[in-house]
Amino acid sequence: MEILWKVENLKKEYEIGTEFKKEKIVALKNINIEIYKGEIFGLVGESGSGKTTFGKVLIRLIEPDNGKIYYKNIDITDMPEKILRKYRKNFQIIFQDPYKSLNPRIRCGYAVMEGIEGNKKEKIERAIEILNLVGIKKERFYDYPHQFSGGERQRIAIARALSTNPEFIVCDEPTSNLDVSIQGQILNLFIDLKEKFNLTYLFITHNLKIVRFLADRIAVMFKGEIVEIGKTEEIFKNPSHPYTEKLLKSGI
Amino acid sequence: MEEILKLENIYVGNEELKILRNINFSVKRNEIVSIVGESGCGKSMTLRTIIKLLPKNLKILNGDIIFEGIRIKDLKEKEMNKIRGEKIGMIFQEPSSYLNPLFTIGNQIEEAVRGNFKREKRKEKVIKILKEMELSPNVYYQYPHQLSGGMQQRAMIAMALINNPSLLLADEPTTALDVTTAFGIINLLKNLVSEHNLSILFVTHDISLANYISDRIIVMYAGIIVENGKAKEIYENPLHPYTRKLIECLPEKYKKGERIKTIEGEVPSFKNLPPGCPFFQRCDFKMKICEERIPGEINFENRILRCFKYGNTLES
Repeated sequence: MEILWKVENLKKEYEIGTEFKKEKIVALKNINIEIYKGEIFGLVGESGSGKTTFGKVLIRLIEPDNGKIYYKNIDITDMPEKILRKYRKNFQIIFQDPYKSLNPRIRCGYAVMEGIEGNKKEKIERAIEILNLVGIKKERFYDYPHQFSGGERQRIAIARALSTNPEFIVCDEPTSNLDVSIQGQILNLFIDLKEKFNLTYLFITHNLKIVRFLADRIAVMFKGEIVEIGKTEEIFKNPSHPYTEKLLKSGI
Repeated sequence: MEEILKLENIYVGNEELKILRNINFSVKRNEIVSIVGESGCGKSMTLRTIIKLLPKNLKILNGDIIFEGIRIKDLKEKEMNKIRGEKIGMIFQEPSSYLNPLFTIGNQIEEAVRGNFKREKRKEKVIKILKEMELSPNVYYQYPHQLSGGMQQRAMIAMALINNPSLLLADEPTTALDVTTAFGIINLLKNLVSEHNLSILFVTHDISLANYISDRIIVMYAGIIVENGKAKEIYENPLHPYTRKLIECLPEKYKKGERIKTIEGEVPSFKNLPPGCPFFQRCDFKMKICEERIPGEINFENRILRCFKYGNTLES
């Protein structure tokens, strides 16, 4: 299988506290991961284990302290932002809270148009097409985010991510703020889109049921380290790390 | 078993809105009852009705709440305050927003102690209950920001149980927590029932969690109870179309690559409720009568249902 992302010895530390008393928090400790093209890669772990940091460092929304990131065998770790821009449209991110990730003063259609290239007419046509794809009707093109429900806003966030024709999307707990019934709809949408556009996902979540249903391979993170990585069913059947075991036991 | 709490024909709302409609259920001693439903189904409102902490614009229009033989509904605020905290404890979803950041945990739990106790005796009580919550006695001197979310929730439970109430109302206490911590809290609550001679009314939107923790499940939809019965029976053999759909949309019921069956549409808003069964638009088994009339409560196979599929009782 083609390797899409390769990460070597990735490290990231944060400093918190005041000028007088500083504490170091190790968010990522020597992470080595390969993500294959066309797979759904699940990343599970507690909050504070560094899952989100990893997702952000991977697409260089946060700069790593150490280590290398390869995208399609190209080293993007120290790539200047100007050149990286060319690649940026290939990877997108969807956040947990659709209330915070949409600008309340931008109409939903315009929010989707931002990422599309071309003249205005083409932009509008394409935006309508993408919104239609995620299940938002044409009539709601000029509505503001507050006029949509939580599930619909998450759909708009997905439409925005899709607007640049990406091949890779980081999904950072995209369903944990949603109701069970809507969670199902959004998960279905993720699978449909993946099949349609041959996407690759990094799916970050703490919900083991979702990961089991969705992911081809999973990595378990604990205190900034990957403690276990492998095929989903194998890990669920016999976990080798004590933390994974504890995690699996607590899934009700 | 003795019934500790009983709600009879409860209607909550105001002139324009009807939030809860004809709520009937009871909680027995040492029983855990879960209320399940999507957001906007009136789950939390039911809890707030019991403890009489409704928003200002809503009132209990009709019905009776009987708690340990007392009619709570007619009590004055002063008398009600005695019941709150002393007889009925409550915990919430986000522990950090209910703890005062400027006072130590010990201080805050002590504040909740009712009755005349000497200072040492009060402290003793607090430390005892902290131990029961599997917290170290040191927590007494700590401030909320020094604790993790799970520990904060444990401190909240300690606060709710310090006066040995007989009923604990839990409003989604684990939704904001991690899987492993949530599991710890759930098991703690389960154990507390026998140790403290407690009953728990547990609100959640996760029906599999409800199945794990509770003896009985109550499924609510748009302000009415649609199904009420033994947890295991409901989870394994749901009868009401809504309960069925709720269970059907859980991802763990599916294999990889399958599509999850979802519930189309949304919970109707309380501002424009349909005249008939509120679940009508999303239901697979709808009949003509469903559009016009609200189904009444019927007893069917050991549970209470509101659906015309199982009988033709009308809501009066």
